[in-house]
Amino acid sequence: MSDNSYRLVVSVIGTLAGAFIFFGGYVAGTHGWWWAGVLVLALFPIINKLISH
Amino acid sequence: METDFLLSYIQNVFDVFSQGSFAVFAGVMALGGWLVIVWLLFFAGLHLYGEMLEDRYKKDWEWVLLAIDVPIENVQTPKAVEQTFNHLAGALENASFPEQYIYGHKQRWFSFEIISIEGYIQFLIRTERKFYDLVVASIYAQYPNAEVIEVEDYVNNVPEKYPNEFYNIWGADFGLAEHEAFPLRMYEQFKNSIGKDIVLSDPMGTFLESFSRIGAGE
Repeated sequence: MSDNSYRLVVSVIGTLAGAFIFFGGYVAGTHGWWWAGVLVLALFPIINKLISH
Repeated sequence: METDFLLSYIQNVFDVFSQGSFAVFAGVMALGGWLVIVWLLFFAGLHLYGEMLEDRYKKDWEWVLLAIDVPIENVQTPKAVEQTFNHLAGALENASFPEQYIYGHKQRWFSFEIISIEGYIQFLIRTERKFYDLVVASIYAQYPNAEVIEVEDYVNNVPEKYPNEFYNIWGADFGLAEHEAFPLRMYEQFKNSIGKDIVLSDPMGTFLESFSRIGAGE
């Protein structure tokens, strides 16, 4: 795989992990903090930038 | 108190599984199921991240293939080869934590090959350019009259797919004859005294003899 592909897959995995953590908390609680779920999407560019050169 | 908590947790588990599939999924997540998924994702991500770092680290490596020709009059025991390997052990690099997990440090390696092209036997060492001097020094230290030449990789001159119109392929590997707890037979055990002062010690004789019988076009 190329460097870009690795970055893409690792970022997707990180974002998915964040989404599952949020979802676990969301359904366990009082269904609040929905905006935190939107913020999970920000994980993708953050991780992608962190693992770039 | 703890018993109450446990009972209510078990009751929740039963409640969850008596609903529709999405509700079951959400219930499992709420009861800590996300931990399993995140655990798996974490290790998958870590593995891929490690591979990505290794690829970056190896990007600028330049491999060289060295052919070693030792004159027949250069008599040496197999101990010399052992010393050569000991010398090359100096290539071992101890990576620090940041080097390993931020820069993706990868230990450079060597490959030692014995090839026979139409019966012409060659000893080859494939190494990274950085260790060129180390390899050459380790050879000359034991075989001062040896010739070390950088050659083109023979793999580039053979077809990529087998079998084809002209060539077939055959492969084999060596296995242990006994349980792995038994020690390997060392070169010392191959020694044969044929006279008072003459001791033959060639553990690779049989192997190389069959290599020399490889015919034209093979």
